[in-house]
Amino acid sequence: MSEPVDPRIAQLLQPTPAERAPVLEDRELSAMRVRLQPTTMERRSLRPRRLPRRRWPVMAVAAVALLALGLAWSQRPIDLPSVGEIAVLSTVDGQVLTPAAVATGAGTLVVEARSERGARVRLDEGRAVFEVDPRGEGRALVVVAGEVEVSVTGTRFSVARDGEQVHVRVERGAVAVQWPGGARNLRAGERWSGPVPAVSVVEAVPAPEVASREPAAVEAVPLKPVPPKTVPPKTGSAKTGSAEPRPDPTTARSAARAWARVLDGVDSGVAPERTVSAVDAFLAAHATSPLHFEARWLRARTRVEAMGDCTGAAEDIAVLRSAGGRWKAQVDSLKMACDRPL
Amino acid sequence: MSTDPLVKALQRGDLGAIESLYDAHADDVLRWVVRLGGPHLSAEDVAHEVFVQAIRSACRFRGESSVRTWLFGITRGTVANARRRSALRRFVGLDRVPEPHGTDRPADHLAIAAQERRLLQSCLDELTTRQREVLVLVDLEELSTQAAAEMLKIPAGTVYSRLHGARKALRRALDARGWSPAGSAENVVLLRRPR
Repeated sequence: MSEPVDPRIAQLLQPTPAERAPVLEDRELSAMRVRLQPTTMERRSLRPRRLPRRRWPVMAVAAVALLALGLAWSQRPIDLPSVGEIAVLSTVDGQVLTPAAVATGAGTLVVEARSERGARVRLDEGRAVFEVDPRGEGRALVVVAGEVEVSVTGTRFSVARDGEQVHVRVERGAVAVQWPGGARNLRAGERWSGPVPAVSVVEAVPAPEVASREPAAVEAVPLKPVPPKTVPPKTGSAKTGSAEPRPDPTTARSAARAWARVLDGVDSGVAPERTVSAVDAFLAAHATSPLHFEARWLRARTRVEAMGDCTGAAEDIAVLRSAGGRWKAQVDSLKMACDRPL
Repeated sequence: MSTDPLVKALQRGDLGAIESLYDAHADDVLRWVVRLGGPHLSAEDVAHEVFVQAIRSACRFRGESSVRTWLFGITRGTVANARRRSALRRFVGLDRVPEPHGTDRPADHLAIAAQERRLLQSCLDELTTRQREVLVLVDLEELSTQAAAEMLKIPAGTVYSRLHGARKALRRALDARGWSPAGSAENVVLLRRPR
């Protein structure tokens, strides 16, 4: 049994009012909780990196046409007339972008913005053919269909939407198709379909004869709907591209394991040259993996930050910049480091 | 071994389970990273790394704790590694961190919010890792002391003692920077998902 504490001593042991006052006030903690939330941009940039399956958006297909990089868009929405009509978007410098909209249902082609140097169009439903012959360096045409992005320089291609399907077909030139899970290049005669629940296929199709190469030639597309179903994979004589955009789970797991091995090497502090070699090997084996942007980012960062090799990182920086979104923002910091005078 | 269907699916390498893991915990992980990581880390990069680590280590997860606790453990480790790498890069001059701007900047509320966030992260940065973890869980994440103790795998009494030191250290850091909650912040209703 312990003796009861003398009340006077107990009194002395009581905390003083200053000690009793909270070190941090509720309103301060409340403000901190608010301020230390992830930003909307951070949330968004994390989202597309999820492995996509059911998360493809309900796919409003947007077609964004840029005739030059770094455009300042004027916000002038224009609803093009009716379904099936052809619209011509002219630019001041003579460049003409011609989307010909063909609806499979009640679709419309909406011009969201036009400027002297480009235009932004959204294809809600149907199909549009874009033909542009850029003149001058640095000119590009980028078509965004939902989360699928197609970059071209001088080509003729079509983008079609049918429900949740997006179809890209290249008839001349080359385009780069990007979606949240990956990217690939399409050449003349190839086409890409996605997103689909199971498998998408890039299949070679005969390239049509294109007689003229005048800038901004206008060609309407046939007034027929795009077949909604996915083209099955073919074997044999047809030249078949790699399956996109959904790698099968086995391939995805294999890529994930390979990438984990690369990261293990980085974590254990290997020389930067070995990191670059490991990424080279990874990309060689898993070029179409959704992780290829990660790999390029690691390689570019290693080259710039650890090896001071901006020239070697140039290709990765260019690819990541063209990927847009968070990749562009991240890689811009590397580019700044390279541009910084010594 | 875990009997949680999500964990079992993760261990099988089920891509749908990975997505479910993201759906359920991406916001939590991102918020933990923002609060634990400090002003020098790219929160989304580190959060993504957390999920990569989680997928890699799913087969070793025994299910002795909740998935959330397991993820927090991975977040702690990943943030610690990222902080070390970042500190090294800054030490050798590879990372340039923009200094907080003065109040003469344009009154862009987003810029102000970002600046204030960086300032608060800098204040948290002055705490030790142990203090920061406790303070984030109890005072910012509003977990009970017992829950924080389970997340950190330490006794509840230790949580109390660390929390006391953490609050005092944070108080000093806030006072040194002259921070006080903005008027607007008091009017913001913080929406929290029910747990």
